[in-house]
Amino acid sequence: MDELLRICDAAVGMARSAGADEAEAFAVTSQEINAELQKNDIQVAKSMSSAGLGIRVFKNGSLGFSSVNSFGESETREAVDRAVAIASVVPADRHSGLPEPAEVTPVEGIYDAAIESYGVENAVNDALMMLNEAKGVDARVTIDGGGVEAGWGMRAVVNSHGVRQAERSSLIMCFIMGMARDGDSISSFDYQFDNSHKADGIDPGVVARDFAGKVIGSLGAVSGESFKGTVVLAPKATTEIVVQPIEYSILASTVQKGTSRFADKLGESVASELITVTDNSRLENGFSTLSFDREGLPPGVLPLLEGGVVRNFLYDSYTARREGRASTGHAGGGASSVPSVSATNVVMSGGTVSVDEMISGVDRGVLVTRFSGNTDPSSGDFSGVVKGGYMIRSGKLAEPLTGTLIAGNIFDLLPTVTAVSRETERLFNVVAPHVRLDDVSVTSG
Amino acid sequence: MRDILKTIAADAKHWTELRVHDRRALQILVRKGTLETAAYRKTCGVGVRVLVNGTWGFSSTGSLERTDIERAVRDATASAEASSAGRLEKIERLAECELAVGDFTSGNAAELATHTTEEKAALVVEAERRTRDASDRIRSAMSRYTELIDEKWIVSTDGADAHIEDAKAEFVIAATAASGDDMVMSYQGAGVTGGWPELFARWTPEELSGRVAKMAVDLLDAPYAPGGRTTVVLAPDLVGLLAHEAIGHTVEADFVLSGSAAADKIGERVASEHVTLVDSGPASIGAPSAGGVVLVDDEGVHAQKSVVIENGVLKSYLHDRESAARFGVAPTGNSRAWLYRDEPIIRMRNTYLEPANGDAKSLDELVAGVNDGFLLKGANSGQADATAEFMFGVQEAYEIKKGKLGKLMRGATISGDAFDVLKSVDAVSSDFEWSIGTGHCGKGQPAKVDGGGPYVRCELTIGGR
Repeated sequence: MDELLRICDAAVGMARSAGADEAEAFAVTSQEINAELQKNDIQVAKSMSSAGLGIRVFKNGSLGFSSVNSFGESETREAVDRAVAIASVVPADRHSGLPEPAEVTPVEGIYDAAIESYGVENAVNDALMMLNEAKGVDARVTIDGGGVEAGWGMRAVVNSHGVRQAERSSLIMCFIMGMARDGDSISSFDYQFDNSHKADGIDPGVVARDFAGKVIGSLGAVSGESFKGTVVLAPKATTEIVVQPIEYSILASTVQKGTSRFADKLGESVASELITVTDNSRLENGFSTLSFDREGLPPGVLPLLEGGVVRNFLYDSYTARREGRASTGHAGGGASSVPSVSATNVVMSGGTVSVDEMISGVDRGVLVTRFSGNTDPSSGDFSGVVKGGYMIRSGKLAEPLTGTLIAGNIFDLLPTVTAVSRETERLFNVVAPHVRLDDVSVTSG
Repeated sequence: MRDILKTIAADAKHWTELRVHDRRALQILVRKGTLETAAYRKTCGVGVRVLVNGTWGFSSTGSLERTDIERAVRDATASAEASSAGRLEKIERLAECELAVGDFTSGNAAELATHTTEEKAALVVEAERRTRDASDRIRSAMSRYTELIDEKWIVSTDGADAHIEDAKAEFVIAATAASGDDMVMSYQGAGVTGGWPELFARWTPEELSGRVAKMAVDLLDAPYAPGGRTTVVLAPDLVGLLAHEAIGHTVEADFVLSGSAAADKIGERVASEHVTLVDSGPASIGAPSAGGVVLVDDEGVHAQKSVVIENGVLKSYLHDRESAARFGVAPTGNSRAWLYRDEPIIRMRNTYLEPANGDAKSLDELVAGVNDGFLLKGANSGQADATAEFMFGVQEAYEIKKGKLGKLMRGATISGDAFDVLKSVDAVSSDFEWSIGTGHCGKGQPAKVDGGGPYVRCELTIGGR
């Protein structure tokens, strides 16, 4: 990691010499091995290494950014010169600037050296195992794509005010997607995945069997009914329809642009008291768990919605300066992008009822396993197709559905959420429960 | 560069493809008066693909040094060897074809370079301000300018030896109009393989600001469209999106092989006789500056005009050399990689419906034939999958009653089975527009694509509320 920090130090020094008032360098190295499935077979095995260096400068209050995928001196020099050249010709912004250092407590459990020795052979074997497990559930399952990927690397950030941080991380991930086909009957397209920072943290076989069960269950789907009423969102659908609009609305950038529905609602209730959402950068084995953000500041754990009440917005140093306050440590982005506010792990807390209890209380409704559509996070309007869904009749799951659309406005619906499940599921950086909504338009064509 | 690649290829024990890709990207983005991005990105390296014992191995390096490229060849070979025992169906051969040799240039990098960074920044800053100032009901606006300048060398052990230069540019404006908690967004732009004359051929930046601002404000006053199955006239942008997302993906040969809705349907009627659907590397119709132009694909295959559906009958899938060999056809030049570190996979390029030539109708005539329905314009993000079931957001829905255009409505989405929709097409106009050139297609890696078509009348389901 010292080497990576030295590369950043050199780039910052070069940028200051080239005329930048303030300079920041963010460097990453990564290695990845990967076995990919396609068309019910192994498609390709890969082994790759990559690097990235992003240089952000400010000159007379103007931003310049440049990135390069190599640490060579001439490439770094070119990137620095490009960044300074851009800063010399674009308009200034009085809120621009880099942050001062803050104390960072390293987070545990995001790096496992065992992932470095996992190897292409194991990736290939685990990918084949997924194929066999899925096909073993039912021969009608067909796998479009998927695979196993293991990656590890380092990131470092240095700025001219003294920020200087580096850390290692690793991630192993398995993924499977496809459908079931029985003659002319094709199931909903679906996917399943798991990931972990630890080499033994995923079970590709379980992921494959879960996927197979889902697509087989949605064979023979029929078009349902049109009505306005209850829908139960499963975690994937909760993520798209409920969590992502909340996540968008608590970013200081959207609040300041006036496109957040929570803009003037700090301390006010915007949702049912069943809804509590937290940004947790230190979540154990969380996909986005990290010690410091893209600017080198520590994000910590912040309540966003507590019992339906808006508690905090997330800031990077630019949005914080606009309000004369401190960053919450939520600058996101990689080596090739200008930092911008983003959440880390967004955790929606589970409720007190089980999924079965939630469904048993529904006389007529739809279970939305997956949602394929558009959610406009600023207005809250959502509209899309129910994938792998089921009718709920008299408290029980009935026929699988196809050609069914749901639509509504999530901000209008949030105060009337009638149940949140005890069980939650981790989907990349989001942890989500099942959520029951009333008054949703269901259209069957 | 070419000489190093040819020397390494000459020493290769297996089929090997070396692809150097130098990507220079400039992006400037302003949102509500804040310059959020002013960035120049260079991504350069070599992607190495080998075929060993009937399976693929891939590796990449960000270095152009000979020793690093040779190491990547060894890594790719080791990966292929590790996976070959597990591969059920071995790749026996790649389809033979005349591989590209020589220099291929598309776009106009030289013209783009005549505009300074300062000029590009000013374009974006002014466009955003102008859009935001157009009405006091506009709460936020965004403007973005992007350039992608590519230089590639592709050398394979079986004869590809191509040097490719391409330049694409994009300009987009968005506006959010609001009244209290009610918010609505409108956006429009252009994405071309070309320079500024092509980028601003349809609309000047000023016209674009005006259109986007007006539409956002008009939509704010518009009621929500009602749901239900109905007759619609689709504008070229939605036709392009439908052709790409809902049909195009189902005819990508890799999806076909895993059982897409188009599997086993070559020679069958899959659409009405009014439908001829094409995916083309060069812009084989309309303006030559379509945003998805590819002259030579990333396997060194000359990019073809592929007629996918001809007068309603499915004629061809979209192939790379592997799938073409399996189907016993010629490759279509659809193998593309986003960056050096991505391996080439089957992607679309410019996907469109042909306008009518014989019984062409004007847009007015298409509308006149609708008793109760909608004219739909403006593609929001779309979703579709290999089953051909799709869902797209629509920006503008104009009511049609008894053949007359009526009021603007918002919030409509369209969905259905794309082949059912194409079977219901009963008329297409003689117009043609490329209109989805600002979009990126995602399939594990992005790709610049375009699409378009005439106005098309058909039946589908509108989701409203």
